[in-house]
Amino acid sequence: MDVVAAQAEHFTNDEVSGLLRNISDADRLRVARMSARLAVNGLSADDLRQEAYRRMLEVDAPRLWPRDVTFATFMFNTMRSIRSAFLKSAIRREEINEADGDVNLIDRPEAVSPSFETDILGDEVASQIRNTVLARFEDHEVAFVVMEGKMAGLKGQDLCELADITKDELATVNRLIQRRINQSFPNGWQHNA
Amino acid sequence: MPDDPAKELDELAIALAQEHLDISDEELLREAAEVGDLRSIVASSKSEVDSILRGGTNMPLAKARQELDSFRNNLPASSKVVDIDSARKRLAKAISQGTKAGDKITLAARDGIGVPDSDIQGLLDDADELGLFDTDGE
Repeated sequence: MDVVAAQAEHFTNDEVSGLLRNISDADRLRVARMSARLAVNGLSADDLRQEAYRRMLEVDAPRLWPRDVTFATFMFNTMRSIRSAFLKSAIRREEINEADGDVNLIDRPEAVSPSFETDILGDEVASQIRNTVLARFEDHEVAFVVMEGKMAGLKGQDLCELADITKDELATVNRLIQRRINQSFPNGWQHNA
Repeated sequence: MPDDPAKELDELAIALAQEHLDISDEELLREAAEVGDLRSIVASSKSEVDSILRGGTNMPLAKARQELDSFRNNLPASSKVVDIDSARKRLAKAISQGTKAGDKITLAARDGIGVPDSDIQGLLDDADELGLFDTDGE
């Protein structure tokens, strides 16, 4: 894609700077909440947001922001991508360390980890966090079932069928879930569980 | 214990994050006003974005990347040599030329022959740290 075509489809660096100076309060809030949910051990909500902003503003090879994508959606996609890459990289490092305890860093440059924490969750820890999160909904049977459904990857109509509720009821339950999660785990549950 | 609790938490995290895209501005603001964290989040976000727009370096990941780059750049030149044959040639050349001060180097194993691969790299690293040789890694 040539420069002119790219500029037609994506915001330029100057335009991105201008848009970032004028983020609405609702979007600031939305992005803060999303980053807290996407945070993982070793990659905090602050890390995620700031790395996403940095990539958008990179001069040489920025992550291009399509003109028809909203700020919040673009931030969600970018933070999710950063998170996914971080987890893959953490798992790879873990595998290398398990394969040979005495890793030769000269022969394996991929084993040289950045300075931030890289430990990933073991099953036991993950199970404890899962139970702590679910325990917040033990007083609300429908919310509990919906939470289990979300953990299984269900969405929309599938969640309604699982919990035997209407779409409007699901929206109400979702609000309750978000409220409780935000109150109980404001910085991501791995840091608060 | 569920089959894969980490994967379940992953699914939940992404679903809960994504749902924020469907929540109206009014509802988000109302809920934050009730919780009482609206002002602090907005102020913190403004400060964060302003700092990044000014090119601030208080970004953990960017900082980590800088540290990593700096670490790699500061490695002794020989540590970047992966090919052990090149390392052996470099050591042999360094021995034949002597040190920068003009001293001859004597090794029990002449020209590095008979020295284990693992020791070759270590010898070059030590020599570079001491600034003994004038070689450029060729």
